[in-house]
Amino acid sequence: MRIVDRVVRGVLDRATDRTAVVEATERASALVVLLGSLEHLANAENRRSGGLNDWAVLRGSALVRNEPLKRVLDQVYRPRVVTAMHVMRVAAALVHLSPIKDNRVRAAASAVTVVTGYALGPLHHNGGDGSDQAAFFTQALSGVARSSGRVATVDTALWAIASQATLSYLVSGWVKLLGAPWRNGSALLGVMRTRTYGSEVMWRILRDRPALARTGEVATLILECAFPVVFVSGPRMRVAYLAAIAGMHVTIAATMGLGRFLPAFLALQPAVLFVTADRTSTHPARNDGFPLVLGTIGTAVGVQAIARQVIDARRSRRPRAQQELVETAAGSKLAVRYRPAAARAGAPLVVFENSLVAVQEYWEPLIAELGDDIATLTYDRPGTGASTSPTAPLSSYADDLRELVHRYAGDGPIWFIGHSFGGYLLRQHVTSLGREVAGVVLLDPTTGFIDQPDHDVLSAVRSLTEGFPLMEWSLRTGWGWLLDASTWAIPARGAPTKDLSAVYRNARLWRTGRAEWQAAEVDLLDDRPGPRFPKATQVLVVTASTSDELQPAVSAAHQRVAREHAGQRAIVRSTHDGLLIHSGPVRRVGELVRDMIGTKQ
Amino acid sequence: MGRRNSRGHLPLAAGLALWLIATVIGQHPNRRFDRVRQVDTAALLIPNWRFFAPVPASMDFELLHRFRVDGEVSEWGRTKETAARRLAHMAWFPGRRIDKGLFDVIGRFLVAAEQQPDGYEAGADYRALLAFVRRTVAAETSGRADAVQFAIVRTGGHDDDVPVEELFASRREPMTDGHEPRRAAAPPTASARSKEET
Repeated sequence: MRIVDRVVRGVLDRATDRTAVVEATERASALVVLLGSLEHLANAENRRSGGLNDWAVLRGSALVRNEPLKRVLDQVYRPRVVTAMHVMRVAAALVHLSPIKDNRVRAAASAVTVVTGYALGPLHHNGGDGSDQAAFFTQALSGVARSSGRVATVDTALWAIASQATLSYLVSGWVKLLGAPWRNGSALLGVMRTRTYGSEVMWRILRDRPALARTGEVATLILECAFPVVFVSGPRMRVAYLAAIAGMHVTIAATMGLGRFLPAFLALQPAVLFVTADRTSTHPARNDGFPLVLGTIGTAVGVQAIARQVIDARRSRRPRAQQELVETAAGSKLAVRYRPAAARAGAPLVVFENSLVAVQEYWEPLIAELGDDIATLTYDRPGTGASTSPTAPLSSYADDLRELVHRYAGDGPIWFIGHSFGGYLLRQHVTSLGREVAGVVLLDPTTGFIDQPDHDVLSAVRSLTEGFPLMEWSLRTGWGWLLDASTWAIPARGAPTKDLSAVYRNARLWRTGRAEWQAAEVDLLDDRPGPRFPKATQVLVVTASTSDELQPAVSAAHQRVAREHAGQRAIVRSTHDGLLIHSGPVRRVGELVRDMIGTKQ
Repeated sequence: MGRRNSRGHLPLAAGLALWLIATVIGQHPNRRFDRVRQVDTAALLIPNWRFFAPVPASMDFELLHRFRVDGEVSEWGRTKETAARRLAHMAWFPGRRIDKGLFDVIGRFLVAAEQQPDGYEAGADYRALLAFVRRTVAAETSGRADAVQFAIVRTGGHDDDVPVEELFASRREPMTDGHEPRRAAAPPTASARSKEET
């Protein structure tokens, strides 16, 4: 016990010495830099043609979009320059590991590490990991501490490292708890059986000893989730906790081959011990201004997030550009955009049915493609944008659609176009409109399945809205400002992007989508496609080529729908959403639809 | 280290606080909320602390390939063997970056394959995988192969009881770009059902 006492006391004493703390941080993270650069030097082949980090290929990715920057990087990523930068990083790491005490030399070594690390980041994108990120900021912050003579600056840098350490364990632990495998006890065994991350020996041990696997999982979750206890526990408990964390990293390094993570995360511990020590035990007394600054700015960011959420919620409930609110007998208020045909009397009317969690602006490119001798009607279903209904999602749908058609249809033929889930809805309801329907175009529609759906299809159907509850929760708790409608690549031609973003930032949209999908799921899985369209109704089923290639069951179902209705089937080279938003596919779909309707642009 | 205390550190504290907050908001379990990460070109400024979370990898992706030499099509083979774990990997394991890199590229390709406006063959991840396969095949055949095809399968790693799932098969590709005539005989699109076609 005396030895343990002595070790604990020694650790705690050193943790109150700023110089020792910064030095320990530097040394541990220098080890990560050293190993990392030696690995990259050994992997030079991986940056040549045929390698996963060949810049000639990487520069075409979304990683770097700025053309002038790409041209600069073309020069920086010449093999000799890259090798020289790694040699400099190795030298800088050796400086940190050496007994050199001069602050300027050590700060310069950190600067070299940080500048070259950031410059090389995009080149080492594939295969980079959390240890690279941890070493990057520990080197940067220890460099800041070294280069400044001020106590407050050193303490601020150490507070920032300790805060990141706390965040790393908190996030890692609590986000794990959102995943079913971590809750049901299959996570560790699952990871260990992989060749990429796991270990065959460990997998066999854990497979034969489920209790051990569960213990390992629970221990990991407790250690990570409860990390902030180091801020409130006594010194011995604190050291014991950090030792347990270190033990976890040793285990990970030994079993998963993640050796660099050990020094990368041990590098954070001296700062944690420093900021959790008795403030007056440091000389001069520690500056604890950082948590106050962090709290103040954090509160301000939180307040603006909530304010933006309120503003977005209001904006999302207003009809968007050129939409009018139509009230139906069922009590629904529907945001509708009707565009009459330019001239022709008796012109066809095309009614568009949105997909799941989709807005009517998705149809803008196709409407432009169809030309102005066709009247068009787009609308949002209740629960999307300004549309509301006093009843549950989909329950008033057939009545609402019937009323809209009667209100806007003239003497001309009526056509319907539905995309994805909108195609499913049209199949359910078009026959109950009480009007003759000239034709229906189903764009990559959601359908039932000819045979018993396989495991992949079933999990895809069931998991489609699995993420929606998290989306709803996030959008109710202020995360909405971090979500952009451009994520869904909605054409913003019909409405300002901020109006569309507001719709997607409203939890109501996702709640509605989940409810719609749940209402339809039984029909889809039991293959109840809805009544057949009348014989006189022309039918065109368009399948996106990616659906045809990657989801054979879906493609077969599309073929069946076309055959059942003696209709046409076309495969358009496109992605699922691309049928509505990418110019080539939209042009092709426009041609197919105009050919069917019998109009020429 | 350090002698004086003053308020001069406040700008630094504010900057670091903003960085920490950016880190916090960059950890949402749903990657659609990762907007703040768009500013981090090198993927180094804003750490990603979502290790094995919320759903850890429990399956491996494996890259398979076959090739054609003198009109004869080879059997499918693994393009890259993952090194078996050894204790020495704690200290030195450069090959892990390549294993992890391959896992990254395949995972990204499978997620984004349906989102490439010009088709997935135009995407950087597809081109990286194709180049990786071509290099392996060139070495394997001493440059005699004239066409390759690759496939991605999902396996249970060390657990042989888990059935292998076919996820993707490329179209037949020439060994170098710009040799389109060889592609003319291939089907117009890649397909998970077109493995026999090379």
